[in-house]
Amino acid sequence: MSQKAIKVKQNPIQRKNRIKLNLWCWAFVSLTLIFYLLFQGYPILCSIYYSLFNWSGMTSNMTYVGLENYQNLLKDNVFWGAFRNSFRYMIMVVPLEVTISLFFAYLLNDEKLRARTAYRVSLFVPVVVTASIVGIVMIFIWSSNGIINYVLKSLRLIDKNINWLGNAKYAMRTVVIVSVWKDMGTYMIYWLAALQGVPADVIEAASVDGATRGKTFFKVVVPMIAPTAGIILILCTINSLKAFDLIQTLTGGGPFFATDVIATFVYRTAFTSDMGLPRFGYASAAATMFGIVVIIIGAVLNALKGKLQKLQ
Amino acid sequence: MKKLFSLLLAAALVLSLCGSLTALADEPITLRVYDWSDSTLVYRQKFHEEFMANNPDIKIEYTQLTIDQFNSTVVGAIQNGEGPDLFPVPTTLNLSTAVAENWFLPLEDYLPQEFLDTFLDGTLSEGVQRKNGVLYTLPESGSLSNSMFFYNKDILAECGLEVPKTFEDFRAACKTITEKGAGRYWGLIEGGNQANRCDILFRALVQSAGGKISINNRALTVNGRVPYDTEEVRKAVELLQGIVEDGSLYPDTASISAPEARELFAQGKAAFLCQGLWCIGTWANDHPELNYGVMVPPKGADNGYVANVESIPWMGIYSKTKYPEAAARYLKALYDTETYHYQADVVKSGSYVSVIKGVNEANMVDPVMKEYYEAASQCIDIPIATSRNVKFYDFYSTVVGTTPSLASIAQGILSQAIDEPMDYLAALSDAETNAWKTACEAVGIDFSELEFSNWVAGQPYTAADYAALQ
Repeated sequence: MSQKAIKVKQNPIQRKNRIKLNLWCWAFVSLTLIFYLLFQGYPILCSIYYSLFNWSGMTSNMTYVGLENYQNLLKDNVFWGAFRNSFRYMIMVVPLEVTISLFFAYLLNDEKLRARTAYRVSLFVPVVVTASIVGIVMIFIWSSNGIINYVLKSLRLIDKNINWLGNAKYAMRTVVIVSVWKDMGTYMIYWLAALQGVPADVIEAASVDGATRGKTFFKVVVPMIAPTAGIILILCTINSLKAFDLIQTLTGGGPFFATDVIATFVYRTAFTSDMGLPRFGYASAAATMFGIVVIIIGAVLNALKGKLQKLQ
Repeated sequence: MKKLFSLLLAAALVLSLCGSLTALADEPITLRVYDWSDSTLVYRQKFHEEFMANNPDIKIEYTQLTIDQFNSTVVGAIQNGEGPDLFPVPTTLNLSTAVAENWFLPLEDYLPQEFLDTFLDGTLSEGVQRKNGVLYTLPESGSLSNSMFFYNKDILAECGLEVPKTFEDFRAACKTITEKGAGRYWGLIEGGNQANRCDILFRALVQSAGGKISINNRALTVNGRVPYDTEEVRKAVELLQGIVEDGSLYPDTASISAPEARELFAQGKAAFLCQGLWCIGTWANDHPELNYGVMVPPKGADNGYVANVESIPWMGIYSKTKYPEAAARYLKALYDTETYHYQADVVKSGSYVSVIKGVNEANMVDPVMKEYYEAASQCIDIPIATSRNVKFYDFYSTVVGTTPSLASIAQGILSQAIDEPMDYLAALSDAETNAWKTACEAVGIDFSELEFSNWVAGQPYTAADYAALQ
């Protein structure tokens, strides 16, 4: 059968209705579109524009340098260090966040579990707390005299206090743990929404057929929530690559760039300097370059998700 | 009847409009003042209350930010004509650039000469507060070294130690203190997550080892090269590494800020802290029981020294302010010693030394502050590139800093994040030498002007020495 669309001649009333419907659609979308253009589109374009200049962001003296900022970035070891750290952070955060949040969501989706709403709320609370506040509190908790060292010492797991955020060996892992704890609630909600879409009778049928809880989960539930898993994975990956506020508050990218990710690199380069003026143009180039990488990763993951869905 | 009603209504409207206009005329103007002077906040607030009581037509809206916040949130507003009425020159900028950007009004148009005469001689100097002879900013305080060492007298007495004078004594003292403290207190504490504090500490130690090195953010070369990998630098590195290896550095140093280090020192968590005069006022308020003293940094060589800091520009009146007269009134009051007490308060409290004649002599009553003043008076003037050629202000606006900087490397040493700091320092010296050469070329200065061949480390550099170089 031909796939070609058949052109149907519409009468004037149908056409009028179609235009009316389109206008309504645009009216509903317009507000979001305007806000997007103002607060996302315009800054992105500005950033690309500034990346072509040698500019401090503090003076009106802007010198057009073309792609020089990008060329310099390619030779900048600190930038590539931050680039690597961003991916190290993502590789550690995404699997932990996705699996732990799924574990809790599955656990808390059980209707027989008493006070499950209270558990859900307690796991979601860190999400609504401002990242900078979490950062400040965590600095105390993870300090060498903090509760973590006290507990680990009491359990005889360590014999000497460790400065978890001030030691380059442990800083990234500590930041990852705090980040997973803070954001896990968001993904738990997504998983819960997906799990609630799994029909109860299917689970019951599996149970009647003698499937264990684990088998039911892997053989029945997982295939049914796979489409949502794809979305969660994409969101979690992109969010982890954009991480800034928590890392800035916890370590500022230190010690000695051990937790320096692209966002902290961009912030530091754009607004501070040890000598000379800050480098807003250079920071814009770094942000643009990394933004392109994130878009590519997002597109690849999206394509993979589409293919996997088709295979199902 | 309708006409009468309309007339009454019109009259009421006119009256209410007049009333509103009168109310508007009586409404005080709001003067917005922004800065980052956290150590004097209490006295500043007291001053504002006094000022508003004496000037009911002015309401002060005072906002205190960190320098990073100022750079990221206020600078854009200044450029767009929406800046505060009074604000300081950001530390990342120099007056020359701020004036070129037309940020400030010439102050002499609003401040009388008799007021300016109350400032100590040399405090309203060319290049720092003046550009081409025109005064644009006023200094916040007198220039005093911010790299003196505070020591806790009780801890030293408990450990049976004298004030250490050399690098070896200092490291040994830190070790003894840490061992005797057994987790109660440590040898040295520093605000290690603040790069600028690590930089100041490190440079002070290099100078104490007799090394030729500039104060932070300033340029100086030795034998045509940026001197960050010299023998004196190695000595400073070894001292810091030794303290860290001995476990004598407060364990959280790498992740705490300067105010946190200041607070922990006052709580008796460490015996030594390298900071500035502003600590004295804060401790007098928050920890009057703290028994402490001030010493110059320990020496690593006989020709060791500590350099005086350069004066920096501070507050000016925004060029686009609607209320320049009110802003000038604010500035006059801030430095006034007859009606207001701000200058006396900050000196009495030990927050900083005043730039107004007679204030320090009359109000420096705190014995620790006197001790600090005496210790800091041992600091010497070292060569300053801008004193040789004012075009170096343009150099500072042009030069591109290298990462990791000296400050970052010092942070890396304190946090044990780098194993071979001298390798990083050698690479930094090479990179900075190239960057400084490029910046010199860009602004048309001879790179060799950063070299002061007639300076002997440990000896003060005088006007005669500058003249001899011409």
